[in-house]
Amino acid sequence: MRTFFLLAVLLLARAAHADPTVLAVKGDDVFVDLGAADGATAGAQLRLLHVVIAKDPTSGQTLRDRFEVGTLTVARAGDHVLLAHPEDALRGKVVVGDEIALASAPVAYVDPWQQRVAAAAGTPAPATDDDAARTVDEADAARAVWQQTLGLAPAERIAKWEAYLSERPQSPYAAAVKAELVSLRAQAQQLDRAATARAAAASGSLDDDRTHQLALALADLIPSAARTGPLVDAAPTTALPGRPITLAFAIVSPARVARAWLYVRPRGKAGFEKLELAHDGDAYLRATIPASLVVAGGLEWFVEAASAKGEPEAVIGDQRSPRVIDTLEDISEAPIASGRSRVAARLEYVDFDGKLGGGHDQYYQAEFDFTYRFLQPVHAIRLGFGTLSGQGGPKDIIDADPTGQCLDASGTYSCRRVDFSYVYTEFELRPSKWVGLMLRPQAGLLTTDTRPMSSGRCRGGADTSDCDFGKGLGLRARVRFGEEDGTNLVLGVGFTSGVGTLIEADYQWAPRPVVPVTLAVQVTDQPVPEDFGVRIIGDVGWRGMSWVYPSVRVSYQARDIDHAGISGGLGLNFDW
Amino acid sequence: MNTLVVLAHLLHIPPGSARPGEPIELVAVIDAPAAEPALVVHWRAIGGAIWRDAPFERSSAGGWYATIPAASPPGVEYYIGEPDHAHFASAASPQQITVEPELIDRLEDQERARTRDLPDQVALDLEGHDFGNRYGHSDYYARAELSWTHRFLRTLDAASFGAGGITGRTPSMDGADATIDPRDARYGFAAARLRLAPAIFVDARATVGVSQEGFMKGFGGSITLGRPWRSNLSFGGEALDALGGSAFVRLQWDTAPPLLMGASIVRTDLPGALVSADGLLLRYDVSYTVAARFTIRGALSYGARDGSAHFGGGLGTAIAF
Repeated sequence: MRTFFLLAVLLLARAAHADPTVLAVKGDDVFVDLGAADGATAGAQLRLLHVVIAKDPTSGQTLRDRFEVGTLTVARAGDHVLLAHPEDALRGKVVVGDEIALASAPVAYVDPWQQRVAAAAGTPAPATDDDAARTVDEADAARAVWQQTLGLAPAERIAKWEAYLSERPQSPYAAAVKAELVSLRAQAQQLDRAATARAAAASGSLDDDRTHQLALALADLIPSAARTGPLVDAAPTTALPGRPITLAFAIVSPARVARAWLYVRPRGKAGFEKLELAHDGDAYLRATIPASLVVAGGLEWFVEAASAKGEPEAVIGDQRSPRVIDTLEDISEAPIASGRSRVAARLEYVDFDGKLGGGHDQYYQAEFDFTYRFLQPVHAIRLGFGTLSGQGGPKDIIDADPTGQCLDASGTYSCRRVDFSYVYTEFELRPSKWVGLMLRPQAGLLTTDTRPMSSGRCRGGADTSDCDFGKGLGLRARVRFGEEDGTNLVLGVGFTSGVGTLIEADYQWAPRPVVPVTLAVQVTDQPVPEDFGVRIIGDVGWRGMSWVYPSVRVSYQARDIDHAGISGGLGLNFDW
Repeated sequence: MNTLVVLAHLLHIPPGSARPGEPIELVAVIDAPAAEPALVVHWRAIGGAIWRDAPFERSSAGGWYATIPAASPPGVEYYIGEPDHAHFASAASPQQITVEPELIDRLEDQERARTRDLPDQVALDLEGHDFGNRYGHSDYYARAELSWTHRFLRTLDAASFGAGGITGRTPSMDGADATIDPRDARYGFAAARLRLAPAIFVDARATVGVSQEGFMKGFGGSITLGRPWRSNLSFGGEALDALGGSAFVRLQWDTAPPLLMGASIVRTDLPGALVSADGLLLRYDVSYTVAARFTIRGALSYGARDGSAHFGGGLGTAIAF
């Protein structure tokens, strides 16, 4: 734009008439077709004249006059055009076409170009008419090229001057033009370097020296930035699980970081995921760790970088000692999980002597419990209430008494009745998927009645003689091999003071998904600690609905081959 | 016409995170700062719509500083420079500074959302149990409590204040000839619940009142492993001067929404039993949130102290506001 403006001024100057006028106005710059050849040099004063043209209404003549409206000061002067600045009062009032008059005394002009040419050629200024004519021709040609170069880039100006020299190798201006070419080539190189730097900055390739100086200054401000690696960072050390992490690194040694990669993995997992870091801004690398890698337990990461021709090297952390971002504790509440809870009720009648109500070795047991599977840190917890009520005694006496009253040879009643109401809490640990450990402390009220034929007397009645009231404390431990809901084997042992011992082995499986089956073998002296017997139990359920599971139990038990009975029970489980 | 443009060059260490409530200071060094009339950090809350500016200002100690005001979670995002020449990041791809909330703040937000920002609750609970007695004597208690609870949702999770009464009968001695002593108390109580961890709660309670024996004081406490509104295991106890002590372990499960069920094993001396300290019962309870503010509860218990087991139960309601 500015080039066009100058060309317009020059063209106007070529067409200038005898009275100097304002050729162009650009801000405070006023161009006038007056030059050093006219005696106007830098510092000279000019008068600005407004021209008034009017027609005399009486004579019909056209009248023209000029009025001085202010002064301008010459800033620079060419041969025939000068640049002047108006005084403050004139600012904004100068218009193209205003006439100008030289206010200062004219100054004798010596063409500095010709002086320079003459000095470079080592010859005196032209003296003859032919020489003068030739010099004028050379000067016009040189001036023409000079005017063509105005506004052009150094490279284009160089081309034009080189063309001039090839056409006029003997020009008296050749030496000056060559000197000008040296200068122009230096400018061109400087511009090329600057352009290269800008392009490099824009494309991510960085000015190493400049950035390095900045890095040193940054290290003075922030001690943590003083490191030997090519990158510095302030990566977060904690993050919320499930949320992406944006990482950014400042580059302090660009030459070592033509490319860089971020390696990330969830902590403890095998194999890092490789993400390329993108150059950004003045001197940065950025990448985003996807949310899928930001999991509970934290993540590990390191950065590798490579120079333009070098091999990748670890620059922050490394594969063996990666940096760590801990994930914050996940406080989100897990959705309600089905299948975690069970309410179970079991009622069983156990007849060891086969005489049902007429015998002396029977009991019933009922248990009602609630289970919730926390999974962690305790797999499950079970709270329950139970009652065991029955009678028992030495099997030899029971079997030997022909009266069926449990009397020994001396006629002493040898059996006793127990009522045990108890509560229990069972904790289940699961060290592996295939093994479950269950521990169940229990405590309750134990009533023992040693009077014959007195069912329920001690539990409610005025006569409590021969009744013993106490606490029954017990412990039961079991281990399960196999999955809880699949085929498994449970081995257990339990003991309750005043009630007896129970050793058990349960084998559970489901021949059909809706028909869970349990086969069990128990060794026990319950309901009173006397002779041990063996129980063989079959329990078959029906899981026709997902949330309820009834079962039927049949058992055979014996303390010896003649002291045996068959009995059964019911169960009902609710699963949510 | 070619012009040589010298661009400013800015280097800073992009912070990855910031603490809540603290301003974020960006420290930079700038080469050729005069080349740009103003170097500005453009920032906004993560996910926000409006960009705000924070200028870099030169420090007499060296360096340039820009301050982003204190941010709240989840943080802020920023870029430096102008759209045609960004020194770092850009409006389209800003850099995030995460502001991680403190754990207790996260828990508060979570719980505030769950409770629909209803921090207060008034509750009325009635419960009782008839232990029976092998001699046919009366041995029971009934208890009623009206309480107001305010939840702070911090480490001090809640505070309660209330009043209650206990009425009961218990044999004065073992045997058929025992008389039946009335056991009554009227009391007020204050309680606090601490949230020691996201899923560990501790309750403490102090009680003062009067009983048939005069001034009565008491205290109680419990620990809940798990969230009280989800599946959990809790255990605790209470001691009242003239009415004895109680201890319990309770299992609660949430697997049958909208019902919240629990089973407790309770060993209690209420209402100040003299004949035996072995009162044991199993209690099953269920609560149902009828509406956002309104909850009803019911309980059934079965247990014994001296003789065969008997039933008990309870009813309750709570209104949140």
